Amino acid sequence: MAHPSAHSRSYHPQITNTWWLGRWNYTWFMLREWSSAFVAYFAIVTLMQVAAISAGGQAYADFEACMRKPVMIIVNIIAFVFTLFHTMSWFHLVPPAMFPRMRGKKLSPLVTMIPAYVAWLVASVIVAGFVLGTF
Amino acid sequence: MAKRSNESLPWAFFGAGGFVSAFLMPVHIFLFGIAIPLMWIAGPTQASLLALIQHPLTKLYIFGFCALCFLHAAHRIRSSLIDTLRIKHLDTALGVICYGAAIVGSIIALIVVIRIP
Repeated sequence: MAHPSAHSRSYHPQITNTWWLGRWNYTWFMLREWSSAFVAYFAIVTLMQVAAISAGGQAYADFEACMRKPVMIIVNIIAFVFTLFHTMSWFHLVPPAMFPRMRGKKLSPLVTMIPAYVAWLVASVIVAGFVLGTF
Repeated sequence: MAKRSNESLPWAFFGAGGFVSAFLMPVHIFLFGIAIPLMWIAGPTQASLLALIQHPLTKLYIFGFCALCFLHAAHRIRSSLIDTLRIKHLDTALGVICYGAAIVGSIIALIVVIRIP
């Protein structure tokens, strides 16, 4: 039988809509979560770029002129900082969680992080090489 | 018995998108969003980029990159909105809006890629 006053005695924590500003840990968590909005933003920019390349020289010149606007450069710098934050937080969390041990021995998170950073550098150089026509 | 989670599929896409965007997004933004517009480096011509995106593997890359980024963002934006605004009761509606937007975005990505001449 339930205690007659069980409901009134139950724990009701008070949480405000700004709870994530209360501690740095929570704020970093929220900033990391919102980095995904910038990921979506630049995926849209990339699609607009591909559409402009497909449409011809004039369309691509217009796209490039748009990207040179100061407001676009400021937004892109903010997006770049957020995606760097996303990349680093991803590498610090995911590889250590995926490969916690090897042959029964516990792996240091650093050992699993370093290959991720190397692979990131290699992937970035390959993309830049194809884009800039080095390859 | 514990209720089984039906989140495994969104999670798989969230994880894949997290990896793809972690590896590839910074270089995309740095080149096309900052370095080329500020003329730190000479940008490629439209003709050379067209030749690049006409390759079937580049088309697959563009579609996969954009679709996974959209699905990754949809999952995080959904949970962030729930956590920030504490609107757990709107979970289903938010899921439909966020994942729906990601699916529409992926379809647009497919159309953009198919329309490459």
